[in-house]
Amino acid sequence: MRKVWAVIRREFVERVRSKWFLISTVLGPVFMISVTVLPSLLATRSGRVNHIVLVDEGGGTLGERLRTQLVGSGRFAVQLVAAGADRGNAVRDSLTDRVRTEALDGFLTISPATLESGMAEYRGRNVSSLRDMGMMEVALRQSVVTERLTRRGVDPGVVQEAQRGIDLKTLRVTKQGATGESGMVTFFLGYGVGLVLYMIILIYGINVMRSVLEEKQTRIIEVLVSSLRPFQLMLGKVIGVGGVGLFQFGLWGLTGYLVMHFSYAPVFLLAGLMHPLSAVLTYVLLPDRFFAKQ
Amino acid sequence: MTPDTVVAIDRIAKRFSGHVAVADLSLRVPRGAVYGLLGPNGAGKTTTIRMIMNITIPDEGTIELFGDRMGGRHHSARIGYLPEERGLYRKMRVRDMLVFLAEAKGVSRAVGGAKADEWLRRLDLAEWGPRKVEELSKGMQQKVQFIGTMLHEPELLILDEPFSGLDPINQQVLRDIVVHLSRAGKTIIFSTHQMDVAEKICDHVCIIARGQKVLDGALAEVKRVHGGTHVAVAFEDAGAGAGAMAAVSDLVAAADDSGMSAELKLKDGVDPQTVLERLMGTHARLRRFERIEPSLNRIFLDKAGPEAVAPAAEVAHA
Repeated sequence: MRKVWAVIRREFVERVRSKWFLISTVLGPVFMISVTVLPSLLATRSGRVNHIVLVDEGGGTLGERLRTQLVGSGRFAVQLVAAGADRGNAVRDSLTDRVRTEALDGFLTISPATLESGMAEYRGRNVSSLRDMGMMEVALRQSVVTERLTRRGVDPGVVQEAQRGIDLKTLRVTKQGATGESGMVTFFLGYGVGLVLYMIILIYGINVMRSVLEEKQTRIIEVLVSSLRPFQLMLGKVIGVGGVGLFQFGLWGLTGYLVMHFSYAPVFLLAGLMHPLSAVLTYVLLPDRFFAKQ
Repeated sequence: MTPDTVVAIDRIAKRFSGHVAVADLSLRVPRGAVYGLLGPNGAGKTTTIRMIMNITIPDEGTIELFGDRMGGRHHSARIGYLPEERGLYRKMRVRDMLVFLAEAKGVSRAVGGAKADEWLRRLDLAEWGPRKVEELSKGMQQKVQFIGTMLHEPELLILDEPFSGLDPINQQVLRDIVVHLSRAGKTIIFSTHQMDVAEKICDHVCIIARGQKVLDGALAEVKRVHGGTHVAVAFEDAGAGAGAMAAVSDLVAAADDSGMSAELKLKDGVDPQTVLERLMGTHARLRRFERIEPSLNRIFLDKAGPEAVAPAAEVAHA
């Protein structure tokens, strides 16, 4: 066991002392945030109002109804343009030029077929914004449904009542009984843990592999396998590198805990600073104090 | 295996993808011997050592260490091993590296540290202890590797080409340590193809060629058995020496000619006095003329050199 312990300590100390550990401890959370939060921020970006033109090729009240819905969402400034089907292409070409020159964010075209088949077309620069496109689709759906029902003689008040949204609240029941957790939270928690597990296996698995590679490249392996069984060597590596991972996650966890539980500004600031500081202190102090000397 | 035998190899063989690396090799290493495993490149020295150390397993035959067949890894605390393909962790500090190697042999951290400090001082490397291995020169790294094999005070040292790549000063330092360890009763096996080094240090030798043992035994006995009349000559200048060598060529069976000096194996029945008279008759000025025992290099060339290979090849083709 003493031999395994020697391998564990070597793997742990040499890694904790390395620049890789310092940099990854400081930048790890920054990277995680950038790959998890940033994409969703980008997807829902643009707090600004989108200037669009609504091209109504069918006439009737759908255009006005849709314009009201879109403006009501607070995300769109809409100019309604009535265009006959014969002028449709010319109008679309003209508007495409305006979008290209950034005079306009986009234009939505509805036609008589929109009421029948539900088909409409939007061309614009902001089609990658999931949030804007989602809102536009909701507004379009509600307007078309309302228009269809109104045309069939349904009271507008009843239509409005029918269109009112619903909210399904999901709560998790476990063996211990009902909990306060919502289904969504459970899903994202599982998703997050899965992602973290994936990252850990990938990063620290690669570290074990690199460690084996290093021994092959530096050719020290021959000395080691003449003293240690391959199982002892590999066990020491897995535990040592795993220990580095746990230590690093411990630092992140502690920092996260302090950030989450203390909203008092100076404490928050201190906790924020502690994360890189703890890494620096570990790098500078811990190896010499606890490992290098007898 | 007698109690005085540390390593007993009995008819081992090793093949790699059809190539025979070692065939039917047997040898005994007595306790306290400095045992030279000699042979040209590719003779099978390193393969034999790896089998002793349990790094590779023989296809046939048995190896006994310290009286049992548990293998080199089982006895690793009693063996110091310096492989031919040696290496160190480049990013580790020298002292930490040595302590780790000692721990891998089962030595406690405290004892390993003390031993490392002692050896670093002894080899003038004390100031390099806190530095990273990658900062050391190749020769220094080799000395550190050498230290790493001795920290646990092994009874048996196995050194595979320990002096290759070292400058003469460092070669001498390590050679002195090997002699010191030998006098302290340690058993030392070392492989080399530097015959001059082996002749100075070894008291037992085994010459391997093409994976097979050519001869083995105590060095004095090997020289005695080799037979023949040998003389050493040295000239004051190489040009005149060449003429002198030509003058005695009909009296010489084999010559190890280095220009300024030569070792001559005389033909059967030739009197060394005749050779001396012939040499005196030339214009060459002699610095040395001495009847000697055959050198290990001469024996090696006779047994494993091109002259020995040719008849063997003829037999193989016959």
